[in-house]
Amino acid sequence: MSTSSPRDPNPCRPRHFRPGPCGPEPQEGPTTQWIETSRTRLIIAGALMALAFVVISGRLVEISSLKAGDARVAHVSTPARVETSRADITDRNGVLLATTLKAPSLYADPKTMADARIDTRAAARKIVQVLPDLNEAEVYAKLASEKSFVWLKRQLTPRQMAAVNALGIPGLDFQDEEKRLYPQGRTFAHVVGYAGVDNKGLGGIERSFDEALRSRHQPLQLSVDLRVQSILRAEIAKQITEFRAVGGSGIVMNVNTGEVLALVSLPDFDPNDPGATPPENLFDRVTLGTYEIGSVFKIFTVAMALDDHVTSLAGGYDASHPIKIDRFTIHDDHAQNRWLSVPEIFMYSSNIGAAKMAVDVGADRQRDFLGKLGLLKAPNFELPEIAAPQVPDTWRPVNVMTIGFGHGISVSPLQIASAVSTVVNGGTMHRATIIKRPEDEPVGGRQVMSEATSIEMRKLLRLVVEKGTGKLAEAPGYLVGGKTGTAEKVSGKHYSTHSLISSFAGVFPVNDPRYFIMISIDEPHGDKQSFGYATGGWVAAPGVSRSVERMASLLGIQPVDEDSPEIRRSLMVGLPSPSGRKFASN
Amino acid sequence: MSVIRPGTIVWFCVVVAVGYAMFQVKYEVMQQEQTLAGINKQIADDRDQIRVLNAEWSYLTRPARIEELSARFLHLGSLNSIQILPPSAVPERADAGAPLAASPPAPSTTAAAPHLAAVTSRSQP
Repeated sequence: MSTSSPRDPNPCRPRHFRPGPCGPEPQEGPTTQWIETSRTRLIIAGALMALAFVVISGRLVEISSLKAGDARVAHVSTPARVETSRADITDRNGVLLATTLKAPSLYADPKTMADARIDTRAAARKIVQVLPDLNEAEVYAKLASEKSFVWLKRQLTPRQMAAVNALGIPGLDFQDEEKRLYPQGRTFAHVVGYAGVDNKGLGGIERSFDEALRSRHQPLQLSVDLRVQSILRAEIAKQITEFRAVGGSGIVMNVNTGEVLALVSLPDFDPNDPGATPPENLFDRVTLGTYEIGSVFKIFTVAMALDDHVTSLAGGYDASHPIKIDRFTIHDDHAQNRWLSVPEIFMYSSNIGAAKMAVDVGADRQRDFLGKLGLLKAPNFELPEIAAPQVPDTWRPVNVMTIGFGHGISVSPLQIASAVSTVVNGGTMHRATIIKRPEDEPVGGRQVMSEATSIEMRKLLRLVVEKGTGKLAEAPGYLVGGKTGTAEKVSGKHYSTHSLISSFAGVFPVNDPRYFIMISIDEPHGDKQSFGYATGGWVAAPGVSRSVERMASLLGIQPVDEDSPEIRRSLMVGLPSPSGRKFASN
Repeated sequence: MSVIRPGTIVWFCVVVAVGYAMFQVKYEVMQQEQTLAGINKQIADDRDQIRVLNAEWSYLTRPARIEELSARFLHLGSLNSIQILPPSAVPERADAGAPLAASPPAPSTTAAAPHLAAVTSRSQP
């Protein structure tokens, strides 16, 4: 060090001042050196301390003023949220359709029981007394085993748990598990679907929204309405029983938004115990089933012909002779054997008329129109069980004719719902959805046909119910309009005349359409009440009538007087007088 | 040096007071936290209960069950469209000031809607 160098005249002299003249001479030698060293050490230590204090005060300032009241306080002040692994599912009015509840599972620790000298035989008997579905011998075998963990029963109800606790047997304990519960049972089986024991969605919304349901806390709100659904389900079930049918399906859709309000497929299953039903009941007829829907398709044929101006409400076709094409013969079920106007073709459901109309439109335009109505490809829908329609590869003349009256093409009832909604709502195609649309959000859609055609179609649909094949669908005051359809089911290579699919597709109120409703009954058998008929007009239409009557007031539809002049005028269609080919003035 | 300076006494008192206050606050906070944790647990339990009750409510208000109960206890028929009228169809009362009980039921109402009378009489067996 330079200060202690011997060449320095006064090595201990403080550098900042001169010593007074009478001050004692600083001592030379090791003592001065020692003092010097401790001074340096003191300074270093002091600096470190000062630094530590600066850090501490800095931290103090940071905690007290910069992020006041954060960290721990906030952590303990929020109550623990009920953490479940799946969000709830509700209907459009917030009624619970699926929820997750804590369900404790009971297990035993046989080792502890043995250590505590429990009489396992008596314990087994007591357990079976409070949980009667367990087998006493099995429980005894489990309790007498050497293991330290055996499940006795999974997912107990709170009441069962209390009962087991009341037994006071040491060595029994619970482990919290979760159980997915469907309070509405079968009513929404095909919509909501079901989840497995490990809480994984295996069908319906539970499957398609599996990821979303796991990550969100807010309930998922569907567009379905519990009241509408149960009415439709009950009425379809009634028709199935009455006509000894094998099944049935139905759908209610808001024609202006594409929202599905009810979706019924019978037979169904209990989502709380999906394993208990035969697997074929899991089949959703509305979205996964495709059917040759029959005359309901004439709605599209006539709409297409009117929209393309191939014919008009005043036009008509000769339906006096069956058409022979290839090896097929097309004839009418309700044969009038004469020239029929377009409204009559629709009203009497003339296959000959519809076939001729389709030929007039032509294959290309027919395919284009049906494509725009979404009938030629699988619909974009939220349920995972979606079928693609069966459409002919090559559109030959015979296909054009048969598709004109709904044969040779198989589509799902869901597709029919969207397409008919488009035909009556002014010609705008909306995507079908089963998730509730926000009310303030505009519904996107694509205009696929003119509004004028749509208005004409409403009149024709009303005509079918007023005077044609769909009279039994009438619901007084609610202006049902619609079309019947009866198709023979394909068995193997050909049609079977005795197994039918009988449908009615309708809209109400038809003067200002708000809802589409369709009921299809699978393999109905005519009875005395229907005079042996098993057609759509006899089998499905009455179900539609009763459903509309029951659900219209719930949907906020004001009944009207059908005979009031303004309604008569708005739905009037000119028909030829019975004597000949003369038209009413329209 | 046996004399204690007054400053020292003051500082000693301050230290004791601050120490006491600190522990007082600490125990207070601990107690509050315990209460808070208790309340939070209570809230969580209640929410669990609410979930169970919601599920039970949804189960008990199943339309099929309500329908059955209604058929058993209420003896009401299903609603008919002619039973629904717009507000404009209800006639104005002639004397608006008269008490409700004093005005006899207008015979014309029952004549115009006999089904209403039928429903009311059926609901009081």
